[in-house]
Amino acid sequence: MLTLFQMMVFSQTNPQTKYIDSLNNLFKKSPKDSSRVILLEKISLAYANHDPAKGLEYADKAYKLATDLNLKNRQAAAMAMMAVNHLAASNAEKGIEYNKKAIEIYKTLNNKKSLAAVYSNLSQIYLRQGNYDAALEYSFSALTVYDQSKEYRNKGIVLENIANIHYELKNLKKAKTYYMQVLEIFKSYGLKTDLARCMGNMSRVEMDIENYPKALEYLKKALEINQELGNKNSELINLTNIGNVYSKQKQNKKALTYMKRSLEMSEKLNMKNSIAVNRGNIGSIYLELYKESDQSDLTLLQNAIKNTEEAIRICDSIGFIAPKMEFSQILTEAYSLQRDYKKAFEALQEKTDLSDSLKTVEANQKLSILETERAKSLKEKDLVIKNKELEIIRLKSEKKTLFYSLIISILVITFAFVIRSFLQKQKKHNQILSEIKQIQSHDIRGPIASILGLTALLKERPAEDLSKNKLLEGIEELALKLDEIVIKITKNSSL
Amino acid sequence: MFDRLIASEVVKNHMPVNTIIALESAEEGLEYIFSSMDNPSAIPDIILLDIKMPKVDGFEFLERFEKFPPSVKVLSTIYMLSSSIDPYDINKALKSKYVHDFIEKPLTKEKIEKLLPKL
Repeated sequence: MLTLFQMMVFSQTNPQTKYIDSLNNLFKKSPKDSSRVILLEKISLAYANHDPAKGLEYADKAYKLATDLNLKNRQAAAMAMMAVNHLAASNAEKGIEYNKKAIEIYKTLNNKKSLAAVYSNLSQIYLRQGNYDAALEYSFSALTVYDQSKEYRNKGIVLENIANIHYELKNLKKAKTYYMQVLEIFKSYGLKTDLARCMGNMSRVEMDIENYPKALEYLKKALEINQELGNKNSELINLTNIGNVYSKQKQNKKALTYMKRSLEMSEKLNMKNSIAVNRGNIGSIYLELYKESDQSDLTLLQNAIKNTEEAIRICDSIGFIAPKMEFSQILTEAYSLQRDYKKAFEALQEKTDLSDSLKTVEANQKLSILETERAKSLKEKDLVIKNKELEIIRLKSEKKTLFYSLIISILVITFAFVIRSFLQKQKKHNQILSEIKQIQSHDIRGPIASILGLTALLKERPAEDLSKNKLLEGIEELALKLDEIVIKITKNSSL
Repeated sequence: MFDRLIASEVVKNHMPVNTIIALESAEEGLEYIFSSMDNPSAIPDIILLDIKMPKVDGFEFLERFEKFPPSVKVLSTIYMLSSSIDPYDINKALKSKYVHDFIEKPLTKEKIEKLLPKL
């Protein structure tokens, strides 16, 4: 069973002839300058999926016009477009060659943005080829550029590609970590198409760890988004993969329904790659259904063979090599069930010839080395940034602390000063008061008390003269009055 | 000057005492007690102590009195006799463990009669 996954370059293409016609109309009206070259590039890209030969023609036209106009940037872009079409025609070698030419030009122009885009495309080609170390190298080159710029979408796409590489290497944990990171980026920037694509790719991880309900959840969400946005290509890939999950769950009838929907759609869009994959998958499901029926329903077997043969035929016609291995295996099994051993042997032969292309061990090693290096450099960068941030925070808080402590000390000093002067005043006041009391008590009241004492003594003595007594009483009365006043004053000057 | 006279007169008239020793200053009082230490009968039963006195005041007298042996201190009952109505003085006087009471001047027959039962 073949799982389709989506890569950036192709998801944007719109193969509808209407679209190409409208571009052609614009082209006829366009002035002979860079805008004309750009239109040619667009037409070339539009052809890429269903007629790469035509796409190449237009890319070539774009290149020649760019050369005539001496537009280096557009020359490079035309080169990249040729690469896209060669790749669509399953000619990876040529795709790489043209991308590298584009890189040369962009390097002389120091056009980092475009360089990163081509790096990213190259990485995807290498990924398809199973050259994972090269794929990863180019992804990281692109990532370095995007790390420095603020192109979050492109960064997400490159990270997604790295996740794809990990997936291919069956580093499922790492792949999942990367996909999660990418999903977050796309979600937070509201990039729905990208989100849907990434969810589709993520579902493969869940499928591999046999978490089929989760895989279906991702796929159905992605399908919903793609239907809403009218992303037909993506929709059909989602349909294929939903079919795949059902088939893994042995729900072959459900699987067949989704596969047929997908096939129908890819035929409508005239996407040969996709038609081939769907035919092959349908063949495989029919084979399963045949086995389920205890090999009683021969039409199922015939359907299996018919669809798979058709798949291989299409693959051959468009040079689509990758899935042929699996289809050959299906055919081998189907033929042997049909007891047609000659054909079974031929199919087996074909499969063996194809199987020597993948060499994962070597790639794995290089991958981990590159990853460690990147993790290290990022960590260092992080550390530097964190240190800087901490420094800034520290400085700020130091300043703040200084400021506040200054204010507080000023307040405390002022307060202390006020209190002190108040206390001093109070103390002085009290001092004066107690001094007054002492003076009243001893210096004034002393003599008064003496006068009173004397008068009391005099009164005790027998009076020789009544008038003398009267005078004495006068003195006593006056002294008592004085004493009263002194006592009153002293008691009122309360401390 | 007058105070000594008044006190002596009032005490003489209204208290059952044998001898009155009226001294001009606290210093003289302390000297008297010191010189009478070998002769306990000469130590006064009652001391009327003024606060305001030249050189050594009543409070200082109390501090120095403290240093006498207990056998001597036990013999005398001290009354503070002052014109002061300042609570500071009154409290300070009453805080001393040797002062039995504070008598506000002038000393009169009535005040003595109030004290008598306590004696």
